[in-house]
Amino acid sequence: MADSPEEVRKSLKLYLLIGGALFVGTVLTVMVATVPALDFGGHGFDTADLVLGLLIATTKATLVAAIFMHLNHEKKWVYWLFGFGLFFGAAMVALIFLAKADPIHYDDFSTGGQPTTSITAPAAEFGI
Amino acid sequence: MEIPYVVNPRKDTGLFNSKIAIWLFLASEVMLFGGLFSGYVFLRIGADYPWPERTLPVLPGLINTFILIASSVTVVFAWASLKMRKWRQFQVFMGATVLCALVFMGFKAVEYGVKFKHQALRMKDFTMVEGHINYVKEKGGDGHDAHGAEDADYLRDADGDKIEANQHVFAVESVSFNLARTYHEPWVEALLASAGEKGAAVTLAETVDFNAPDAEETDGDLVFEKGTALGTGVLDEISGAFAANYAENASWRKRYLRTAWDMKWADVEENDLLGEAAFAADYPKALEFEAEEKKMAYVRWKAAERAKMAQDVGIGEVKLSGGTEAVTIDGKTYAERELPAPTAVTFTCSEPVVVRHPGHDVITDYKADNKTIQLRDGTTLNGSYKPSPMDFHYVDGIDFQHLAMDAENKNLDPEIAIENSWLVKNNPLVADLWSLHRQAVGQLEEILGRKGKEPTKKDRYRMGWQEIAWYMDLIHEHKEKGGEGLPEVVLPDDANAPPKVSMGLKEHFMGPNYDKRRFPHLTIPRSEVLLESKFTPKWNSYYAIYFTITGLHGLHVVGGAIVLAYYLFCSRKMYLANPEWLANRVEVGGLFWHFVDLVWIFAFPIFYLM
Repeated sequence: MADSPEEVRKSLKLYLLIGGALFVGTVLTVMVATVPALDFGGHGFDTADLVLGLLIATTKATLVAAIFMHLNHEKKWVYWLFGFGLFFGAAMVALIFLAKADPIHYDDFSTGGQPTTSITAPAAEFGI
Repeated sequence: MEIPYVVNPRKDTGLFNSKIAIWLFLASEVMLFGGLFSGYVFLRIGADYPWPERTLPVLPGLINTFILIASSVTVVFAWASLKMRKWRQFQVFMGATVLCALVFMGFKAVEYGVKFKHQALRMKDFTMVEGHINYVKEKGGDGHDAHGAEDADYLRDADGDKIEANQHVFAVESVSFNLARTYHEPWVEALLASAGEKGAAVTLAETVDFNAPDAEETDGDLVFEKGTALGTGVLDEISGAFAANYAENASWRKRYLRTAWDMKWADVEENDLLGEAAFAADYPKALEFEAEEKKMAYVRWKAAERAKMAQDVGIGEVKLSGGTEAVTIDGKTYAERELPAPTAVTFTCSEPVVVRHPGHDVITDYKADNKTIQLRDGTTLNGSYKPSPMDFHYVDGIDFQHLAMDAENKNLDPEIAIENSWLVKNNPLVADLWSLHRQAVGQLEEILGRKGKEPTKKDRYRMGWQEIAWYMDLIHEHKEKGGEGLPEVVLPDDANAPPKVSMGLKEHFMGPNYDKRRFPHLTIPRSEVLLESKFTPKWNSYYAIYFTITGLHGLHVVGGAIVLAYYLFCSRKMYLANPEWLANRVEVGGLFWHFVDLVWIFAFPIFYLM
């Protein structure tokens, strides 16, 4: 653990380095979204941009968690607690897939209660 | 009391206690924001309208990201300084962190402020118009030009406030207040002020008597004579009388119904017990007869009490039989005893009084020939509409994406649908803008087509402020040169989007510079309007989730900054007494701060770039 003053002093350089990496990561995120030459996939926002953007964000988040929050060398209790939160946080995001698998149909009463549109359809048309 | 394990780790966990605590808290925070982000995904994939993608100005978000990253570095340096016992250095780094938090919130305030002032409009054909609602001017032009026209003066209402252009203007002949609801005081005051300015009297249309018809004492407190002048005091008194009578009636009705119900079951109970007593008489040894006697005495006493109550509430002799039959209540009996409680009172104006209400105050659908409109507080206005068009100034966004989506869902050609939209058909300037935009998109299609790509729906169907300003400049130049018809749009060979004016630095934060840019001004009949809103959660689910997540994140920034500022300003004593304890505190505060940064690392690309 970087707990003794000596070890803390040694890790200062690392903290600066990580800070720099986060800056670079941020610039990169913006560039892939705004610079035409770096527009992967089709023109404009699409799945490729989504994956790339989230990938950079996850990398940045991992750096913050591992280095700034010292998760690279913590006691097992912390991993359990954080893992617990992460698991249920992820589970909540995963609920979306249940909703996707069983989409809500809203009935248009003007058609006598016949389902008309799946609510996932229009957004899908717009390239999401 | 000494708090254990603030410096030394506990043996079983290997951690000092507050660290366990903060990680528990952070675990709950991960779940909270996880749920919110999952809400975002759900709203986005389920949206029945084109999701506004890449719609926020990137620069303020980018700067805020830099600020939060910088503050994450400084807070970890502040902790390291304490570990190395450098108080001054700690102060500098912690000070920088708190400063970063303040700057972050400053930018956030600017961003929110711009949205709260920016007006959006959804028309019945799903055309979206974005722009501004200004104030009506009395003279010096049509009220559309914010500069020049020195003699122009704003129209003001009876309170001397400037009158917004976009309002329902209604000439009130009579007004009915819903006594079951709380009336909205400012609206009554506005009506009175407007009447006062005109010299019109607003008086009670009919005498309202809240006394019981057969009440012996009529002290006059509860009688409001016809001709009483409207005022908030009078309205309060009337509402009070209504509320008192209503409560009295409710309690009376409850008493009546209860008694009727009781009598039914008294009958049943009595029969049952008499049966039991008969049984006991046959088998005296099987039951304690004395106890039964007492029980019977109680039943008889209770029956007598009920009879008294029944008489009291006026039920009189009621024949109720046991079993599951319903209790029949004679409605007339209790209606006779109820106090008068009219739910509405009407005041008439001696001559029509003009009032103005923004769209969200009026709940009835707009029709120009409406003789009655209802306000949000249940108040009904009778009279007639004055002309109340929606004047939109500095229109900085015309968006046909939703209209196009709607057309495609109906298997119609979106282009034809747009040509036939109300705005393009009725406003020549918008028709010109749309025609230029189509030229531009046509060229863009060709340019991108060479690379095997095609314009997005946003490119095709949305004219944002930069596009509109570009087309307006083009038209202006063309006219200056004396050209006729529409100018030609020529896109450069490497074009990647429809033509845009380039943004000035301030425009990145505050939106377009309305003094410098040219924007159209539109008047749209209110009957074509489906929804009007500022860029607030009301506008669509994108802004709802945007404000929820960034707002909650902002609260975290404020909360974290307060804690860190406390360490900065109030911990010198602790540093001198037990520096390691303070270092641990700062570490825990820092962990929270990093988490706040972590949330933003995801919020920034998701809201600003996707």
